[in-house]
Amino acid sequence: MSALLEVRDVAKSFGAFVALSGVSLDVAEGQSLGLVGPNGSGKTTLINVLSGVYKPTHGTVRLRGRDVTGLASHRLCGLGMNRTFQVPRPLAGLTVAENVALVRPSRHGTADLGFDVLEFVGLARVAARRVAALTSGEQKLLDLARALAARPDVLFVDELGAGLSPSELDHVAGLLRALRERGLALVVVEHLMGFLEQVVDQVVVLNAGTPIFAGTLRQAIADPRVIEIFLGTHA
Amino acid sequence: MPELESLEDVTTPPGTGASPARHAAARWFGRIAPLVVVGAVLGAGPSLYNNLAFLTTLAIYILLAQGVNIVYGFTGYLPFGFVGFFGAGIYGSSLAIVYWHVGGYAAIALGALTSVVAALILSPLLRLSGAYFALATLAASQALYFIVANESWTFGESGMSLPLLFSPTALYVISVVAVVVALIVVLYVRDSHFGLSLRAIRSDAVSAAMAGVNVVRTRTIAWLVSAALAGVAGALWALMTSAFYAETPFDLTISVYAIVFALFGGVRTAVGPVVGTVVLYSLYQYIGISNPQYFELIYGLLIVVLVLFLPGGLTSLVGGRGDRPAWWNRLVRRRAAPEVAP
Ligand SMILES: Nc1ncnc2c1ncn2[C@@H]1O[C@H](COP(=O)(O)OP(=O)(O)OP(=O)(O)O)[C@@H](O)[C@H]1O
Ligand SMILES: [Mg+2]
Repeated sequence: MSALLEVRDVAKSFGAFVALSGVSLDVAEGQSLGLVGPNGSGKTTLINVLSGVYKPTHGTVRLRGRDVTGLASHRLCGLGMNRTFQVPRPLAGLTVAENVALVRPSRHGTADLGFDVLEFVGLARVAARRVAALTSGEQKLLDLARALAARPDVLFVDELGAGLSPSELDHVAGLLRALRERGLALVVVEHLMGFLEQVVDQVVVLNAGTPIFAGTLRQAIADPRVIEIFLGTHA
Repeated sequence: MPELESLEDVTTPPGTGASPARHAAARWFGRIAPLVVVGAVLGAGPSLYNNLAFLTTLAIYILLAQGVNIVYGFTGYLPFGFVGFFGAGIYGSSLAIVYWHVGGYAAIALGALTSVVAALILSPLLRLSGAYFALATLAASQALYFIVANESWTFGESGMSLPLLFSPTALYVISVVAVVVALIVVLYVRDSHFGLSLRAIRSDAVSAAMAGVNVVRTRTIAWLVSAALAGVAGALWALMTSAFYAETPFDLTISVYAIVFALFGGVRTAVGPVVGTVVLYSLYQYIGISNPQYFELIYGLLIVVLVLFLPGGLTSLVGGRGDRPAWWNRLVRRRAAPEVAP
């Protein structure tokens, strides 16, 4: 059985700067994978490469066995891959409802979530508002709703928890758990370990653009290499 | 090409009280009313002011302003060289008449086609941003002008001279029909998923792509549609004028007027460019022809005033409260529409 998403030896350079190199990982159907690493270790860049914002300099990406390396974002969206943005990017000229109405669900994606995405994330009551009238927490939820409206099979979530209040954090963790229960594969980038613990089973640790660890979150926390890179950056 | 879809509503939020049937009725009224009003006003034009050359030129400017509306209003690209498509339409239709002896309607279609082909060739310019795009379209339109003005097969030296294919009245009727068709096109762009995609791209192309929008294709289609409108405008102008040199068809003030008319009335609306053109071009007819220097001054001031005080154009004053400028809301002191219940 091949994985839903296979990333093989992906590299990405910006000029002479190597942001990612030798990144290989698998995401199985319905798996929830954490992606952690210090600031600047390449987590967002990896999501950008996997979601078609950047083309990788090297390596291949397969989705359900099909080579999707370097495809444009709208194609990947149609094939069942989607993401949120670390700094949320809801479409500011549109209303909340329009942000979601814009999205044409992926044809290949099987994950018909069977709910209204605005109801699900809790934004239905502000559907008529313009994005500018939303709080930053609400903008993050709208970014998530927009991604879910595409009915992805695999969803990358980039620091959805950062900057949220404790009650908002609980809400978002609940949402991600609910998605996992519905069989959606998740790749969750997060610095907040308490949050991560609630939503993922496995983690990959990136350091300077390269994975240095793959295993459970519990193992990661006890791993000397992982401790070193995190303590190293905090020291 | 994307599947043409019915005019579905993607803007009305759920749960705003009125029944769906009432909503649908109001929506269709909002689409048909402008068509009827604009068609009726322009149709009655000759009985109000019996100058068909002026009225036909007015209709031609409305088409150009609607073209600017689509490319600038909905995609955010400011085409300074928009007049190039007008000129392409003029020469495409004229040369077809001269060499192939086509009829008037075929000439209009071929004028539109010529502009669309020119737009297709220039579509890589859509990769440029902001001022670079504006300047590149300008350069392209001037390049086209130099070709047309200097080649003998385009009658660069001798000037173009065409047979009269329509009576002035017939040509005016055709122009009004073209304006109504353009209005339908803009209404479609405004209300369809295609239009929503354009607005999304204008807001944030990366995020729009993540929502599944094919950014390049959607932008290109808008660009071609706006060129087609300018091409029709050009063909109508050729049929009306019938004898001309290349200077007029590629005169940059035509671009400037079309842009100012569209902005003054309000882009991203259906009737804004119509209102803007009718008001300003009538003003031009009234004072501009005898005192062009005042008119240039008024235009200069108008652009400044628009940018500062009325970014949404004239029609934004009667649009949704959110679109109206704050100073106007204070002035009028209408009671605020109730916010959506918490
Ligand atoms: N477009 C770009 N051009 C040049 N360098 C870039 C670009 N995008 C990212 N980088 C660099 O790549 C490295 C990785 O950045 P990235 O944003 O992926 O880190 P991250 O792991 O997401 O960090 P954080 O936890 O702070 O979000 C950084 O050094 C960053 O400066
Ligand atoms: Mg990041």
